Amino acid sequence: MNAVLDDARYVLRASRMSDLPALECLASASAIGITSLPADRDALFDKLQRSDKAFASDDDASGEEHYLFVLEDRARGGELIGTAGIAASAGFQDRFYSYRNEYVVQVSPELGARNRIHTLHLCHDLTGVTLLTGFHIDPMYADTIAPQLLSRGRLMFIAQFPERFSDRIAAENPGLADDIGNCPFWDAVGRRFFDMDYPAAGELTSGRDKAYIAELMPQSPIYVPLLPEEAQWSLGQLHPVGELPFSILLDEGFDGDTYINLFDGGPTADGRVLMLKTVVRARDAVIACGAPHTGGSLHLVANAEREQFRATSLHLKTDAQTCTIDAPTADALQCEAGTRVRVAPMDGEYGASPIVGATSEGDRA
Amino acid sequence: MKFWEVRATREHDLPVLAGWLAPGADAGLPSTAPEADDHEIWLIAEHRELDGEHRESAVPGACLRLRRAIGLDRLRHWYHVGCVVHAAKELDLFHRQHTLLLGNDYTGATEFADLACDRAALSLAEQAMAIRTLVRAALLLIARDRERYPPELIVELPGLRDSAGQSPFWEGLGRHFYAGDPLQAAQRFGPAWRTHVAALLPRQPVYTSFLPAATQAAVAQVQPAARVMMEALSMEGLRYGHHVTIDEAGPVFEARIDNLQAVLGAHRRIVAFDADAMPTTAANWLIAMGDMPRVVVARAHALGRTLHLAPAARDSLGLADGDAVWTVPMADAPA
Repeated sequence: MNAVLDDARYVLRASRMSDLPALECLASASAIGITSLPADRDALFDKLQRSDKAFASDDDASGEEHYLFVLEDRARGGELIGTAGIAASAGFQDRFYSYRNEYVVQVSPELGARNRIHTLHLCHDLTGVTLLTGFHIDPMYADTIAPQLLSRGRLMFIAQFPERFSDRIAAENPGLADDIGNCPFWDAVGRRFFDMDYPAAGELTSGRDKAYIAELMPQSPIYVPLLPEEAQWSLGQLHPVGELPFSILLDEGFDGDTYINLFDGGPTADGRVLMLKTVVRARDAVIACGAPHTGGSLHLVANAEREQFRATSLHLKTDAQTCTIDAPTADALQCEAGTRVRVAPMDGEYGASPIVGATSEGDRA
Repeated sequence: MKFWEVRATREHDLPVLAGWLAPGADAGLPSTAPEADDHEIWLIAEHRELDGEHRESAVPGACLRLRRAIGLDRLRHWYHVGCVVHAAKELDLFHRQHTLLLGNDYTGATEFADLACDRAALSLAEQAMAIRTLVRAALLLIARDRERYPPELIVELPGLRDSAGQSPFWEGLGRHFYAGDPLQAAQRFGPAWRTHVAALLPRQPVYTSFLPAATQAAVAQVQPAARVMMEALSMEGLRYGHHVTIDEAGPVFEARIDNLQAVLGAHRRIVAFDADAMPTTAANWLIAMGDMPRVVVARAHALGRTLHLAPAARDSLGLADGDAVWTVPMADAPA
């Protein structure tokens, strides 16, 4: 299938309250171990309400905003196929805890020994940084351009409203845990302080501030060599379910080696907004209405709106000053001829999108 | 009953003492270099025994090194065993966590080091008596030279070892930071090995809950054979002060010298040999005499600053009327 046919097929936009049933549907299909998209109607309702408030808030944002984005497949009548969020300021009301990987080298010349010891330092480094959250996509779309748009489109939004966000950005990624809730990192660290298994701890933290729990963890550095081998191996290891979003972040220039999650040992990626690939490459262009380009390379295109934020992917000539789209696409992007937009080239080749009309139930399993 | 005497160790004692000491312990006589000789006195407790031909000979039974101002030339390290409580009422959570913090806390202290006895030859009661006498004699010598000794006193006790001689504490902690064999290192470097290995050990507090159960259980546990030492030290008023040795987590007993009854009750007295002044209830006293470290036990009775002794003991003690000695009763007066 020609990828050009996918131009403007997917649209990223701000969530709205009417997305609730579709989100519920997505959540119920989500993988175990990811708690950021609860399959709980009330919690989703709260999320949507919070997001509405965030997008509507004035420019002197408090930092408490949590923006939720959804991805539509226009070829399926605008069906929701993914969601992702941005928390303006990590740990806003309190501290945001992570473990920071550090190494100490200790030497005894007399014993002829020199050790490089890996330690984990409980830290608040990422407090106040912008946090990418809750990346979910229908697995059927994993190889398409859709997840790229879902993840990178958010960066366009952040770059357009820098006063609402930190210049630093981070994203937590799920660590190793199996389907019945065994998590080697939690079992080696958190469990020793809480006497509860990982799913129970997850429930506890989803309902309240994580910082509250973090304060009950050991405050001095953890010497990694003292942890069971399985836990050592799991440090900074990604749950397979997180591979796709994580790989996108690494491609954007996030560093995935410095911080790890307090609870499951998964990598917390971090970076500088202005250094991210999509942000560095973004430039202005103007919308023109007409027959779309047939050549060129894949670009991320985002309007400059806040509540009416839209982003999609299109083929454009590398240095095109105008972005020619047909009327339905302009409509989907909330643009008209002459509207100024931001465009950023995207690398790589992506797989074919699902054929319109195919049923998805079978693929979801 | 054996009567113990305490004196400085001499060259000819070394082969006997070597068998009592822990592997890697310093087995040499203290340096006699002018700048070093007052840092350490190696004391030995011996008792007199008649051999097969009814000749009296002295048999050593216990020893210790009396050191002052430790850790200044060679750094000394211990773990402080601390406690942190993690509590949350809402979660019904109250966790008492132990931590180990590496430090040089006892630097500059006085130490009774390498406390050891002849376990093979002495019954437990005899070991207890020998150690008791030795420790109290050492305290008497400190009292006699009080201004030379820093006020804090410590004694390291041997920690738990399994039947193969391995320390469960080392297996769970130290081994992760130094892969070599601790016994070999101790034999190669002597006591300095602990200074060398400390450079490799964790500098930040270690929560013991990260350590294996056997390692946690070994913290501050004394080797069963060393319980007799621990009891003797307890009787003298020393206590476990929440510090352990870095290689086997043996407890470190500590005291303020000036709070110990053996030091408070020690006085300079003038000897008087006088049978009439000796009550039938005369008790055993430790008597430190001469310039060299020498402490004997004799039945005596103190009246004021006079120590009355039985005339029959005059020759064996080598004392004369009017001699000045330092004395302390063997047992503390009931409180």
